[in-house]
Amino acid sequence: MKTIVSDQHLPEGDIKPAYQMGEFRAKLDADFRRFLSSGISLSECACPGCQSTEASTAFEKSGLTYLECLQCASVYASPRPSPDALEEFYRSSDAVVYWHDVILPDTRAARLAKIIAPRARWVLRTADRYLPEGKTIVDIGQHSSLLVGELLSSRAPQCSVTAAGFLADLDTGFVPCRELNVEPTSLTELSRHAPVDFVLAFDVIDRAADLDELMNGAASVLAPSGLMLAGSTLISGFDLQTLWGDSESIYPPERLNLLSVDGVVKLCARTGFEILEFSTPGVFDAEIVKRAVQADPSAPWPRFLKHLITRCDAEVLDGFQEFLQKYRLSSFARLALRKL
Amino acid sequence: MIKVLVIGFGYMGEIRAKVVESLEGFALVGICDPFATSAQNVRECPHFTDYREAILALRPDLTFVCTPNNLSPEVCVLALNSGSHVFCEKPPGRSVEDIEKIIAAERANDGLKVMFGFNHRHHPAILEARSIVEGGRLGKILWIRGVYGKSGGKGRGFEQSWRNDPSISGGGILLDQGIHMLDLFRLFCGDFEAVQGLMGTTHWDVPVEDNAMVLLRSTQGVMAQLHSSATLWKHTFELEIGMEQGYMVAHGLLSKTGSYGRETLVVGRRVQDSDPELVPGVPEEDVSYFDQDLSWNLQVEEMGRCILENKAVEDSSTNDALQVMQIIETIYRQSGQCLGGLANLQSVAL
Repeated sequence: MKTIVSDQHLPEGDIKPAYQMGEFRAKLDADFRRFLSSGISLSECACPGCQSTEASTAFEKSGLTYLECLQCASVYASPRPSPDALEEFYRSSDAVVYWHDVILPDTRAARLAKIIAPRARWVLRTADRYLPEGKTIVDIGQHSSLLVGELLSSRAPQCSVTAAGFLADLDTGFVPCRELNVEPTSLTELSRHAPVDFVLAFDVIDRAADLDELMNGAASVLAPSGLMLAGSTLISGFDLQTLWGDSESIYPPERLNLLSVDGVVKLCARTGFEILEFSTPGVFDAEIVKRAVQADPSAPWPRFLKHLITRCDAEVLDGFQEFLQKYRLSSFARLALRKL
Repeated sequence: MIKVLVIGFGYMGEIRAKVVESLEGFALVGICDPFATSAQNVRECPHFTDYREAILALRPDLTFVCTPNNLSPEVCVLALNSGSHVFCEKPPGRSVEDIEKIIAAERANDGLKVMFGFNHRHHPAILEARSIVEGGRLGKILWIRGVYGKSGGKGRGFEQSWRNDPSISGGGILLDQGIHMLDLFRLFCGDFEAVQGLMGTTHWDVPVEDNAMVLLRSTQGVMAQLHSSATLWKHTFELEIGMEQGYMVAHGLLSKTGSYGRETLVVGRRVQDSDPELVPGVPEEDVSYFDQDLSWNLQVEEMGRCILENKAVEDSSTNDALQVMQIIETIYRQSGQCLGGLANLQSVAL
């Protein structure tokens, strides 16, 4: 297993403008509370990382209760809606429309340059390293149109790409072209695209209503030794541990599974994946906490944390963020997994 | 099942025995070492003190030759002539003449495989760097630069080591450790057509070099530079590769003691016009930190495949050993003038 640290300068506001994100979160909260009150059924679940049922209440968000696993320290929403109910939600949410119509267009250039292009380079580099002969890709990520477009421009015409996320048709950035097939597919039916060399699963591990279904779906579509490349939010990261239930990065239903590093390792082990790379190349942790401290300076922050965040200069904070990456303590995880 | 005999049960022999025992398809059938105390520490398999007796008694499929350099050629030749495949530690003897003897025995025993222990090729940072070069996304290699060195240990123990007795080792730090870096240079750059070397005994009271500086040029025009040293008080492994569209730096080595530091690979992309926020010369970098060294296993597994599938050895082959020994011998020839007094360097075509 390896860890990659990325030296990158990216203010969070470039891809998540504060005002627009506030609007988005407010819309999502309203949509989701309405959704919960519509009489949909919720089901309790075990820890999506290690399957333990020993847990304590962590916090509540938008009407959902989050539990903290006493075994692997992952945090997860339970009870929660079913996968079908969630799909219904995403297809009718005003917040989702706002994301596609306002936030994505406004941040497209910054996202492409700072998030998508490096992510595409990583995908290609990982493919070169572990499966250079691989040619077929199924994408099941959310909001992944930019990534797929970047990959097609980088790797085409050698690769065939199928956008098979269950909301692939909603991702308005998709521009059907010769190399791209858009076929929204439920996780239980992913195997109809089998066998493929790569599954791209960015921003779905934390969103999946049934994480086992996601991993099993990925395994079912992958050829032997195929690669699943994924990204997800991690609860063991600095900003989420510090801000916990007050974090603005936790907003259901997009963050149902907040795994810890331990939880990810256990999830992969029990679903038949070898971890080739487990990095936390997040770049926002220190900035997010700094903003929270500045917004509420009289809150009882630990003294050292307050000193670090408010008194130290940018170079120290950059060094601190690099430290978080190096020791897998940032709150964004990037995974290269090989099907066993 | 490949029956394995390990001859020479020092530091390397013990590593090889552990690898063999950990892999499916291999069975350790015997150990040979003239020093009974070390041989007694091994697992439940016959042990011998005479390698001729061991080879003839056990008739192994594969013989690991982990002996001092002066013995390696004759052990390899006997093993081959007795029908055994051979895996030999580096260096492949003390001279080009030694490796040529092994090659002659290999040719005389068609079908038998010979591989050398250039395991650095399989370290995770090197594997990653190779995949980046082969992927072609950073363009061609322009130059390569390596530093590989150790402190020589505490006190004067280093000076007593057989590795510094030229009658046994054939050379100093360049032959003992620098050979790995030269092998990596060849791995990335292909064959070299010119070499200039300078070496000296700068600190230790030994009759061989404790530092060597080498410049090379490959047949493709790639320039290379090596510093091999036994006076790096901090153990160091660093390989830099300059490419058209970026660069890589492999640093540290996962090892038993961890003394070379955590193994990392820095990958930087040359700043482009499309990166308006970046200043030329200050690129963004990714640093990979590696946790696991499978180099020993990967090489032996490859040897197993060559044997079972009757494949030619293409990795760490006798030709690889010959080419790198020719470089080293050229440097030794040049630097024979240098020891005890610097002389003008000469450019030598290999």
